[in-house]
Amino acid sequence: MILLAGIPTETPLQRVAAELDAMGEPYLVFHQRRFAEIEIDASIDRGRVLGWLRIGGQVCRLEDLRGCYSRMIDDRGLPEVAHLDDAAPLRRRCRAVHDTLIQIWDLLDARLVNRLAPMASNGSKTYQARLIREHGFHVPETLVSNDPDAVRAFRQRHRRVVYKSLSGVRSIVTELRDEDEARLERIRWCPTQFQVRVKGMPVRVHTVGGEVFATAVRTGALDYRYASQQGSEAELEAFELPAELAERCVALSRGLGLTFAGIDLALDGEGRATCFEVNPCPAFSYYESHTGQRIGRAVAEYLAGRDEAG
Amino acid sequence: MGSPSSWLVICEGHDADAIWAGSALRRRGHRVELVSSESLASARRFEQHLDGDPDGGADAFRVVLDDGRELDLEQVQGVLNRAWTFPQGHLVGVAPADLDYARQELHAFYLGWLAGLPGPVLNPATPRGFAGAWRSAFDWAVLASRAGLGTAPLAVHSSLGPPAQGMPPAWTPPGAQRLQVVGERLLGPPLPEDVAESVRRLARLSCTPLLELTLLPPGVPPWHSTEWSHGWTFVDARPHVELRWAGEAMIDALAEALADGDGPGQRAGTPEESP
Repeated sequence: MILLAGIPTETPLQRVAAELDAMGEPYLVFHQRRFAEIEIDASIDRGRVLGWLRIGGQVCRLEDLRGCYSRMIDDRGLPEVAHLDDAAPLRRRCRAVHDTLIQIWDLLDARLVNRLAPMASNGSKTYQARLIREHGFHVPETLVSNDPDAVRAFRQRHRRVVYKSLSGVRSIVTELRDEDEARLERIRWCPTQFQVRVKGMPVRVHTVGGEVFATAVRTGALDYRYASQQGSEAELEAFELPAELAERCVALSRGLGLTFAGIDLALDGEGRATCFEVNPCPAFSYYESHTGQRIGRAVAEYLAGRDEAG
Repeated sequence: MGSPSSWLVICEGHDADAIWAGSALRRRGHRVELVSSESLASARRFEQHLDGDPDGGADAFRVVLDDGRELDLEQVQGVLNRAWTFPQGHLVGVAPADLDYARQELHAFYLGWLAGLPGPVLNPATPRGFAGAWRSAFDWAVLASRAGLGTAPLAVHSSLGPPAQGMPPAWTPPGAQRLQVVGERLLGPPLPEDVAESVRRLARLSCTPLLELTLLPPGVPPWHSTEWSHGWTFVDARPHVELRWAGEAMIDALAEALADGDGPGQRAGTPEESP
């Protein structure tokens, strides 16, 4: 049995479910908004997780789960409980169901997309950048500082500098311009990340187990995800990575403990790849819908153990 | 700072254990810089330079504290990291809509900065804890089992929710023994060598070179089982270690581990392991 966790109408989850349907693979959906219909009973004995999961009228032994895919959102934001006080019984019940699944997730003897602990590396860009660099990728030269003078010196040295969030929140890349000078004083309350602007073609690489899907992005925007807001467009097309680079991408994902990852690269004219970050929960459907690359199929096959390694 | 062989102790201002350890190391002639997380949070100047080249130069750090002290991290050769939290009082003026974002930015900053600290770091920062990963009882039980320790059964049901992570148990079973790990050294009751090696392996598996744990000796039944154990049984573990408990033996062990550039604390920045 395969477990899909999240909101079923969310596109990536929907696509993986559709692929599992097409493959004839049975699956259960941990529908976050229907937490009241879910019950988990788990125990751990000699390092193994045993127990059962009940979703509505369906019951599955935890040891029968072969693959698990999570697109879960923070349950505290679910419409059913968002307006409730922390102590409200319904909210506490919602928390307990989610907490229980989260606690056993990484311990399940199943193909996990992804394990939760390694996903957290993306919560700090500088933390993750050091790990990326250890895997042989260039990363943008970076300054994190709360000192406007240090930022000015960095910009003077490198001329073109961007800033973006250090966490995974509001991570929109923006170029530092003369008109931002007056706002620089604001960084004193919170150290901020500045990076040398890296030239090159943006390439998003999805790795699924040992499979690689590369998508090239032709755009004039600094951050192609927000191309229309930046007065530009983004054209996506399937792209063939050099074999050595593809292998390095798989090794990077594995090194970060991820079975499914979205790696953001810039490729320069000399073939050098600079890695900006590794997304541990990629919204692959955006790339799939523009290119026809069957990323959702690969995820479904991985979960079902039908990939090459399985 | 500025002299070679400096050790850095980072802790919350009220962490009497860390302050005691820093002072004891100083009394033994070691150069120790004690920095509170409060003074880091209000540092006048923070600069963290990350080099872009995987084969290139080193990263650089510069920190000027609010009292004017400058930390030269290039001279730091070992860190006792007890920075569990950083104060966020200066966020009081942040608009409610931006507060969560600001908190996450600060969390990301401190994690990235702590993970770049040089030398053996006890304990290395991880995304699940600035001074070592907080793990669930389930997580610890699986790791302990993999390390070769006997474990008592644990259970959880979604109507109750899981127990709080990493905290000392509200009730310690009678006969339970406390044990501390510092690098390769064990502090506490003598253990059979195979059990001692399993405990060291647990510290390595969990990337927690400074670790405190509770074991039940043979013949003492686990607290929620009628089965009598024939060997030592793992009860729980936590990265927060009561440093004063073992007295001068802890200072001996810290001095040895902080001086060991190849030791297990030399793991800052490695992705944390999980069962």
